[in-house]
Formats: sequence, structure tokens, C-alpha cells
Amino acid sequence: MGVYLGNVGNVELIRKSLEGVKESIVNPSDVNATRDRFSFDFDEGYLISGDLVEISTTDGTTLDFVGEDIRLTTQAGDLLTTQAGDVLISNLQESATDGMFYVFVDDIGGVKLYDNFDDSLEGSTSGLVALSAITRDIPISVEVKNRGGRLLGSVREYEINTSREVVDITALSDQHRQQYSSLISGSGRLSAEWDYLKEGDKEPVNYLMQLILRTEIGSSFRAKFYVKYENTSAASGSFNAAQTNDQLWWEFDAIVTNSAVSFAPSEVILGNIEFVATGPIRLRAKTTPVERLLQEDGSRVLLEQSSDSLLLETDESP
Amino acid sequence: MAKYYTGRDGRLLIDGLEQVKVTNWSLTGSLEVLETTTLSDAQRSYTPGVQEFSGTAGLLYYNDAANRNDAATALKKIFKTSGVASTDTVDMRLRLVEGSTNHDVRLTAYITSVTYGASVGEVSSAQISFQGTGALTEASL
Repeated sequence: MGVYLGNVGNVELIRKSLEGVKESIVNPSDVNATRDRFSFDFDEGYLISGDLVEISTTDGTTLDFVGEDIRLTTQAGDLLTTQAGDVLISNLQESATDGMFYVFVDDIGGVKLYDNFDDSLEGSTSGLVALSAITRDIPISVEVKNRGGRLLGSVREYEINTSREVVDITALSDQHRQQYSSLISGSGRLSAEWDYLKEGDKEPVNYLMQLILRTEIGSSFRAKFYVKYENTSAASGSFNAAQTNDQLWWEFDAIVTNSAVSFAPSEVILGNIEFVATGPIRLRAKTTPVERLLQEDGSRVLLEQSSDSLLLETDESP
Repeated sequence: MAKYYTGRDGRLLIDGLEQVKVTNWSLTGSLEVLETTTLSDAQRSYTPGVQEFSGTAGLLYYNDAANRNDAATALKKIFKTSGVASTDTVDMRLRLVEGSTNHDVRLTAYITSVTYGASVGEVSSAQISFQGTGALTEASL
């Protein structure tokens, strides 16, 4: 048996929205082409910097205020990216009726569009999608899309609780209480050092604290809570190099139910989040299968000294 | 021997068949009394009138290995397309067991109401009410 410490865990967040589409109208005065910023009517909290949104026109016309860049997507609507994570852009010089962008939302509700997540968090000038002035009202629909997962930064600890309800089905004449399994529910909490800027490629915990205030489209997110993350090892006990990249994790959709920030002199500011799972809770594993040496008929080659079978030699470097 | 009775001792038989997955039963007996007080009497007086017996029972909606579902059988006394005839009575026996001794109350009854449903996080069950007709056929309490 291996002995694992908490540092082999990790938390991966996938931004999502359970709710539908927001419709609005972009007026000519809403677009500031000089600053590549525009706005439309949405309640505060509807968009959070870093969200991936799909913007479409609802009257079939083109998104005239968006620059000429056209992002390439799969048939399923996922962005095509390079191995480095950069979004692939078509060089065709024409406008489209829809597009997917990362957004940066400033203090007064102005929206800037970006072609990558990192720049959208910072509101920087790089990665900014150029906007053009328009001369007509453009009806649009905006939908927050699911997006690839990112690790949550500076997590101190997390805890997952799963429970199954039971229903009493004890009947007359029974000598012992009888229970029948019913619904499964899950909840948990996590604590992370507070930050509001990205740390490398990691999501800051401030995002989860913003989620609970997101009244219009809910406070949902999808998460993977890793019991063992890739490239980690047991602290002691039995462990072989082939297990290094094994991964085990809980995966579920959740809703933030409580967020708190603790302040104390000379102590690190911590963001504490509580959540409840919604939908199925899965405990998944991605492990390296053991490669055995087989005979021609497919049966294992058994060792003489034990009941184990002969394994293929593998490269044990991680 | 001193003994308290609990649900572990309870049984319900309908038409001689012990019902499975019964969660509760209750029986109420009442006597209508007729007043016989007359002028000059200083106290009211009564004479016995008609007796009445009614009760309720709860059964889990449960199919056993032989596909027997007592709750469904009881429900079908009301949920039927052909209407209820005067012969659609059931032989109810409400029993408390003490070793090999049975304490029974037995009556012929009509099932007068049935309720069942499904709720999130709960086991489906049927609640039935019955109304006795005629005298008790056994009362070995």
C-alpha cells in the first residue's frame, strides 16, 4: 500500500452556465472602436472576465462591430487551437453572423473581446479583438459557453462529501429495520489563498467568489477534484514509476452556496468556498494498464515462485 | 407472560392471505347509542344501537420474487373499469401475534378508498381505507 499526502491532489475548474441565452441590442453608440470596447444591456454579474461567450446576431445579419478575424471551430462549436493554446483564425476578410470570444468586463460594464483566456483576465492590449464602428442597431444573443478546464490556483485544502439517502421500508412483522437506497447527494468545501489575477495558467479563487453573486445565470461550475494528479508519487510505501501519471478524480457539476474571505493580521487571506453537487457524481480513474507477457493462446505466463504472471519490461522513467 | 405488542407482532390478512410489506394498520369500532331518557328522569339513559367498524392500512407498493403485489391487488378493488358490485367484499383479518397464539379481529369489509403515488426520495406505497359490513366474524383479542 502506498502512502499519499494531500499534495498529490488538485482542483480543476470548468466555467459553465446552466442557463440560457441573453438577448440584447447593440446600438451604434454602444461601440467604441477607438478603444475596442462595446456594451449591451446585461445585469451586473452576468459576465465575468475570462468567460467564453458565443455572440450571434438574431436577425441573420453579420456582427459588423466585430473585426474581420474569424475563429475556426469544430462542428460542435469548440474553438480550434494550436498545441500552445492559441486560437486558430481564418484570414478570410469578412464578417460572420456569430463568433466565440473571451470577454473582459470593466468597472462600468464595458466589454472587450479576446481570442485567449489569459489576456481576457488581464484586459491587456494583446489578444484584443479589434472592433469597428457600426451605423445600425444589431440584435444579438449572448451565451456563456462551457470551456476547457483550468487548475484552481493556490488551493490549501478541499473536502468532498457524498451521501446516499435511505428510505425506511420496514414492514409489520419485521424483526430488524430495513432500508432501501435512495438518492445520492454531494457537497464540499475548499479553501484557497485569495488572488484575483491569474497565476500562470491557473484560475484564481476570486472567480468562485464572483460566481455566487452571478444572479442572472446561476452559480454553477463543473469541477474535477483530483485525489491524485498526474506526475505525482506516493510519499512512501509501495509505488512504482508506472503509476506516476495515474490520475483519479471526482467529477461533477456544482453550485456555489457560500463564499467567505477570512482576514487576520499577518495571516494569508483565504477564500473559502462551499458548494453542493448537482447531477451525478463520478469517481473516475485514468491508470496505466499493466502489460503482461502472454502466450500464443492469450493466457498469462505464470511465475514459478508465485501466482503472479510475467510482466513486460517498460520504460520506468516518468 | 407480560408482553408489550409492537409492529413486529402485527399482521394483516386479506381474504386469508397474509399481506407482504404492510407498514401499518388500524381499526376503529364504534357504537351508536340511542337515547332513552324520559320525563322525570334525573340522568340521561341510552340503549345500544348499531355498531360500526372501519379502518386503514398502508402497504408498500412492492413486487415480490413471484411477481405478487398485494398493494396493487388492494388498489384494484377501487381502480377497476367494471364498477364495484355488492359481492366485492374482502375478508379482513387484523392480527397481533404472540408466539403461536393469534389475537385476531376479523370482519367483512368494503375497501372504500385507496391512495397511492410516487415522491422523490420516498418509497411508493398504497394507503387503503375499509368499511366493515355486518358483525365481526371473529374477535379473539
